[in-house]
Amino acid sequence: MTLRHWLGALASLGVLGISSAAFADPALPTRASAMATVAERLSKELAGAPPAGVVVAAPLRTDESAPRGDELVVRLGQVVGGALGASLARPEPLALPAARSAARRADAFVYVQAEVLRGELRVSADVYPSPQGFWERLLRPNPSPIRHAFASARLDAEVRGFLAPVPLVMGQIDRAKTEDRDVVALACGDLDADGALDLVTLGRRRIARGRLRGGRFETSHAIEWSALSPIAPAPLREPMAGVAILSGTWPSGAFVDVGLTDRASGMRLDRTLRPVKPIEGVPVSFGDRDVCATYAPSETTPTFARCSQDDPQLELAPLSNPTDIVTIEALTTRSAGSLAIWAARNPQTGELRLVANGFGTTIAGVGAQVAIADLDTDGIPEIISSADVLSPSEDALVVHSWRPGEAAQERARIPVPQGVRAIAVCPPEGAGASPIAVATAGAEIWVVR
Amino acid sequence: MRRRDLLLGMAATLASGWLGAPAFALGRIPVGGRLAISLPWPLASIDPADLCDPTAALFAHAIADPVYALDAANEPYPALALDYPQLAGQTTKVKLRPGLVSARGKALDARDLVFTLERARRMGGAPRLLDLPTPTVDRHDPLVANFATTDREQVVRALALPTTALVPRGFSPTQPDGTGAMRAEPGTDRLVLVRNPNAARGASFLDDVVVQRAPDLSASLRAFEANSTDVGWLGAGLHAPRPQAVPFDFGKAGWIVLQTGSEAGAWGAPGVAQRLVEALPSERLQHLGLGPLPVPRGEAVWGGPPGPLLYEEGSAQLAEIARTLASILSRPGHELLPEPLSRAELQRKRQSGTFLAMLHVVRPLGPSGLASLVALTAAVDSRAALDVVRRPPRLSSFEPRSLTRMLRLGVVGELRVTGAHAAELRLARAASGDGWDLGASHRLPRKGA
Repeated sequence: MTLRHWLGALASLGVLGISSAAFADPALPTRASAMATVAERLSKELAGAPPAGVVVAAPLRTDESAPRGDELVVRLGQVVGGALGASLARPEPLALPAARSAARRADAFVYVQAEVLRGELRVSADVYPSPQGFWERLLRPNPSPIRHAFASARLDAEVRGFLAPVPLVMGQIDRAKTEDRDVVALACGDLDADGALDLVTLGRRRIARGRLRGGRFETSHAIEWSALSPIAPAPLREPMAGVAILSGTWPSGAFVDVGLTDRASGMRLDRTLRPVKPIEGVPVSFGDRDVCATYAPSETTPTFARCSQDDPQLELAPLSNPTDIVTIEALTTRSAGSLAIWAARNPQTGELRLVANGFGTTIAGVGAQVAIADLDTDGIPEIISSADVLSPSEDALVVHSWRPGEAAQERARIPVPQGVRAIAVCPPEGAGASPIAVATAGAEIWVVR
Repeated sequence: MRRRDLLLGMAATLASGWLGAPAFALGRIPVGGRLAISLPWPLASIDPADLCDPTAALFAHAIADPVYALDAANEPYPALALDYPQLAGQTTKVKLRPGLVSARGKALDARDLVFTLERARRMGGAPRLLDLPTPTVDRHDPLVANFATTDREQVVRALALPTTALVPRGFSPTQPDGTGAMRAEPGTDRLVLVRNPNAARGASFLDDVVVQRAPDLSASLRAFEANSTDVGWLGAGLHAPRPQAVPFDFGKAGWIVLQTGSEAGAWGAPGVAQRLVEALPSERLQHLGLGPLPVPRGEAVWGGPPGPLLYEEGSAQLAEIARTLASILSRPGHELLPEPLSRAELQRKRQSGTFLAMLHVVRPLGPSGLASLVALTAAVDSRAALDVVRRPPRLSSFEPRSLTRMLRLGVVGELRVTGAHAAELRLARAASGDGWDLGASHRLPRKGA
């Protein structure tokens, strides 16, 4: 952790009401950038390949406007080259024949082909030998690649910086009926790393995974709570619930952590919702991983700990102010940094306290459903919430943008007269803003784009 | 209902387990705050097993839970039980949820269930128990109570009565204990209900409810009008309605009945008491908060021997009703003289039947219908109530006043939970539809606090 991050964390904790003296090394959520993720995965897959002296990027293929596409692939080539230990990355994208020619002096070169498709950065890397000597060039002028690797990651602010900006317009609402009338938490992500997004609904009776098709939430996998955990001896009267998708790679796919205060324990599920191991508490997203919140009926704040004993150690001091909802997220900035944002809601005032990089602000009138995401991948976080009302007819989906150091700005307010039960933000899936999934009290799931 | 219907109903509700309350989202219901109330009812003790305890009629729901609860369709579902009773040979096994702890910190198991049922049987407020064999604790599982019967429906229905709500061994009405949303601290002039963090179905939203005993009907209204309390019992103010007061009427928590005893001679015969109360001029009872009153018919004259009209001491509302009844019914040589007695003395007299006339409360044993007849009959004779359970009469009406024409008691009116509350309070109606639910009541959030 850098000193800047560390000081930022301490300041953040103070604003949130956390005693900084309570622990020496405050944990920060982090999220690796799309380019770093792709480069790391490619380097892992290409481990053991002949050393490549040169990395050459192919021109970008994309389904959206990319005014700085060449710069993107060159930058990507540099990052991949760095991960592979290559000595040189070509400063311009080249077609394969030109790449062969440009890399003829090296023993081998890595040819990186990137495409931006349906909100994903998909990158393949092929290791080509360079024919050495006259006869070899004559006999095998275009040798086939000797190693191949592929990796993908959802677009982030760094990649978006090379593409056309995304307007934050949320004018389209797709509604789907669901048979689960008691959804209390929701998550959206690519569970099996197949490029298509899945929704996970957490109800008081069961957990379901599915997709929206033809105006219905089509369940592909489901599991009853009664198969996962007994009822908690002393549950909360009004439940708290959480679902966190822990990203994974093919073929294992992602894991899903689920927790509900109705139940004695939560559970880590595999991508088909089969139980993997119990977890303690209600999972809360924490950048690339999650933490678990424990709510005691006699306490006004939750406490946090790692969800499973097998998870990495995590130290989080208790909150001192009354708090019910805590959301912790890490976003990639345009400069590929990781911006940690903490949000804590005071149930007595309906205020959401936001902290990032040592800056803080407050949003008033925030309901019990809160998500943080970079909807338009511009590096500036959006805070998506329900309204602090007790009548469903007055409820709404509210979106604020917050640039740390400034006041939060309301960007959209969409009435949800049935009442908002849960909110999740999906990863980007195209040229537009990230979709927002909303579970309503009317047994519907809305996807707002 | 046929047994098959019951089983199907149980299967449908099993998945929901103990869940009765809906899940809220929007703004979460704020936790905390106090409800102050002044009531013209005794507060010195609460006994969930006592069918005629007016304090239990108003507050037992908040301190103890039945093992099975009834949903809106009168179908039972497990509340403190792990699931539906299991049949093993000729034995029906009821297993309690693991980890149940009472408000005063006592771990609960099947021994407490056996104690509860034995106590309820002795108190006579649960006629269904008379048809059930005494349960025993399972030798292999301390959470399981065994009933030597194969009639699971009968077991479930008996365990769904408010008078069989689970209490720990050694239960004392003056130090009541249970798994409810609140812990009660009764006193002669003041009852305090405090949030129970061990509550098996969710602790109350409110920190506490402080109930002061009102010396007369006007004291409660005066206190509400002066902003000293949050609830006006039977009205919104003594001289003028409190500004912004919210009227409420949550139906009956019980019936107020006139019971005659052996000392009344021929005037203690079945049906006489009901004929008398039906003749009472409704305009003289309107202010007593008795709910809808019938058109008077017949002659409101007491022809029995002169003597005391007993009622429980500390009950200002019953005292007022007793005075009104005495003034209407008394004639020279046939005077009824209102006389307060302790609850224990009243119980003793009621059980022996050696009294002239008595005014007291009967709690409902379930939704309106046959359960009304069973409750009213059990208040006089629990054996007779068992006959009603075994051979339900074919009646054209289950209107309580028509049910009591064959009993030694008459329904004067209802113990009606009605009045007005402060605007910043949300009083919750009981899930059954009758009475209030103090555990689910809450204060509205203080905006900008």
